[in-house]
Amino acid sequence: MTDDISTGKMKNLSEQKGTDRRKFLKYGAGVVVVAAAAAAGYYALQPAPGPPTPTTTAATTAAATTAPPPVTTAAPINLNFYTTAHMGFMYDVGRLGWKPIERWNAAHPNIQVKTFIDSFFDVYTKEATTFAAGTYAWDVAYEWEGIINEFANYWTPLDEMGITLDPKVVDDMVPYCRKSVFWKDHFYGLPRMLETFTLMANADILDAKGIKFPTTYEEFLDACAKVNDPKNGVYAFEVGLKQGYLYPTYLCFLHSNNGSLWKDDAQQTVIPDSNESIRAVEDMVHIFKNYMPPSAIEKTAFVEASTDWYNGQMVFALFYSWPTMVVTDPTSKIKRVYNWLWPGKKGVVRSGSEVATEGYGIPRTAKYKKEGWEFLQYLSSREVQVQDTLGMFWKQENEEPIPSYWSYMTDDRLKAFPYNMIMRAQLAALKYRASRYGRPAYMSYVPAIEAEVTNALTGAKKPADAMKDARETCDKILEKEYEKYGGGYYDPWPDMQKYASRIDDLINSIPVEDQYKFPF
Amino acid sequence: MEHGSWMARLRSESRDAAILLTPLFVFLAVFMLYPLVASFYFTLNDLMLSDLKPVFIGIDNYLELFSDKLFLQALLQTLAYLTFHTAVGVPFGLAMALLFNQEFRGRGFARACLLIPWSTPPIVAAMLMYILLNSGFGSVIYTFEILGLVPTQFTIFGNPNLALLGLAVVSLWKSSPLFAFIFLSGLQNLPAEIVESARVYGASGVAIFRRVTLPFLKPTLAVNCILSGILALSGTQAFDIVIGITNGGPGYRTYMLYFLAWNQAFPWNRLGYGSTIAYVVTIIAVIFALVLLRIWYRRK
Repeated sequence: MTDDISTGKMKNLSEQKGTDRRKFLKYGAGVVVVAAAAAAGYYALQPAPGPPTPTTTAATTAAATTAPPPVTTAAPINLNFYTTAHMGFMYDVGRLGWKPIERWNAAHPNIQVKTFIDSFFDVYTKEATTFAAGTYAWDVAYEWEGIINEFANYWTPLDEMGITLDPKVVDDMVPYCRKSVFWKDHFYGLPRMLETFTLMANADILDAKGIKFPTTYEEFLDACAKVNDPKNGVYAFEVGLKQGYLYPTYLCFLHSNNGSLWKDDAQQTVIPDSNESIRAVEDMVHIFKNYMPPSAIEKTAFVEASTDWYNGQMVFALFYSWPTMVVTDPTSKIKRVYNWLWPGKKGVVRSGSEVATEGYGIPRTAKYKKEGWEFLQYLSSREVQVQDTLGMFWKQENEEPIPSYWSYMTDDRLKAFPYNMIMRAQLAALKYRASRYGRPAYMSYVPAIEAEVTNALTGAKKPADAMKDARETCDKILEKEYEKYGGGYYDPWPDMQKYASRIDDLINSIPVEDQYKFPF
Repeated sequence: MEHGSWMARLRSESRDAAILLTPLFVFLAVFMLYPLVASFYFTLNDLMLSDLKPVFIGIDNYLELFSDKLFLQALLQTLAYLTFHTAVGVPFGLAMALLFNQEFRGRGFARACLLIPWSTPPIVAAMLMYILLNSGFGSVIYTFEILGLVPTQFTIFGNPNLALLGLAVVSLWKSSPLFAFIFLSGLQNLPAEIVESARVYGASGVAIFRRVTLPFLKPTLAVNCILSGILALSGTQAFDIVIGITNGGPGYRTYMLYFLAWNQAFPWNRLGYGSTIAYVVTIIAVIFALVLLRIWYRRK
């Protein structure tokens, strides 16, 4: 309504002569439609935005094994650093209080690191969408093989920055760790850590029942039968089986059957329906039905299961080794832990595990690449990585692993109990296949496998049928992937085997009490 | 006053309206129309986030939907979820509204409490229910176990036959209060004299409900039904609750269209195909919305 001053009457705007609100709305909407259509047309006709053009910096040779000296620049800058929530060590909650970011900031008043944190499960989509948007967000960001393989275009290869890694540094890098920062002949960052799935056991229960730590899968089953006591709330085995982090557990069972997820052909065809894979899933079903709490099906890997472990409600656990650290926690109901290899079946030449490796790289859209490189070297340095391992704690929010360089593993501080037990177990696991089978479509085919393994676990499908369906889904996914990337991805396992004697030497150099020594 | 062109008329006679409405049009164009047009363009392309190089494939993405078992499963599950959500949630909301329409001590407080589930962010509601209903450590399931109502380690979200139902119940917990409040607003417009007259003439409580209250609430009932459909189909309840509790599992038993569209577009890196699924959801939601508007205006 509006006032008509000349008549003193109130009139509706639309009733005024010559004023047609509908017409205005119609024209207005028309303009909007035309503008949107023009924008869409413009978008369609534009070449794909793609990644920004690379920048170059002066050539340097990275040592990467020493912490960098303080760097000063003309004006203070904020270095945006993107990392994950499970690396509590990085910012605050480390048990020993050694805070790398705080230390860096204290030593570099002109390069202040500003940390951005997300859950590991959100990192992929956050980075993918941020990269695709083409905007600046971070100078240094978390990376692992899944995101490097698929989004390599959006990361800065080190050689483009004029940085060549010293061959000695590359040789010192555990090949699995190399994979987390390496794609198609280029390094995109530096690794930070390594961890493998190992088998842990409540030592007091095993000793009380006179059971030896199992070194074959059959011994493991026998032990499970002897210790399983659900009526008293103690289950022989537990690992969370919820989709989202079920894949590493599946890989352990696959390897214990001497299986491999992909063929050694040019396409590296994924074969979840191989005989070994079907047997692996059958084993998982058997263990789940007989020796695990039914609730495991809705628990995330070790996250919720950690409470049961801490409370002594499970005898065996399969996970990265850090739950072993309960022995240092006075409130833990478990006082002694055995930690060694996830066993293979009798006659299986190699057992195996699952390996997680992570690193940091520099996105193409980074503003401060040179400073980012300095910070990257710091994150990958010996002191930060060793302190990271020393900060280990059983709690889920603080997942600290072992270093990513062979030379760091000889640090004397890692030879004290219980780090020595963890170091030895992790190193021993590296002697066997621990591939994660990372490739560009990792985020697509892994959920397909997990869903079908779950179908088998819940009895919705027979293992063979479930894994055939997984194969069908994987074939569709990987057909497109192969067309685009051509296969031939870096498989670290052959390189790992070259380091077998070095691993033996390292294990022998780490002393441990007899009770914690187990045969390969 | 006559003008030569519509632009001149617009300038002289509708300047205020133009000034007031232009920001709205710009907002609609940038945040609604452009995404709609752009995402439709995506549906006609094979487009991946990793390189953003669209390859025009016409309607292939739409054709793929018909042979995509996961899409068809998600579609059926979404419809089942929607049906349960509406068939149980709306009557439940009505029952709550009838209860809260009665005079009783503490009614204001009770009504305020009723708002809590609705005002809880969906992802928080999901995490809360995950913690309460988890078979390993959930206090609700534990209580049921102690009472002997369910077997030890009873699982809802890990059971392929119960998981979807469990999610629908969680969603109901969250949205029924909204339905109840909409019904309450309807009930408060119900003329007291009509009810009183019916009572004077000897009608029972059930008869009053059937013959007076329910017919009076018909438009509100329709609004609630359609609102329930939209919430179950494309609201945050169709996504946050899934990702927060089951992540689509066990197997694919709790995949719903919205969740599948997101998965295809982002983690699975098929932006074109994900947009296509989102478009299908949008089309279904638009149909619901049109029905809603039709009923709304008819009531007016």
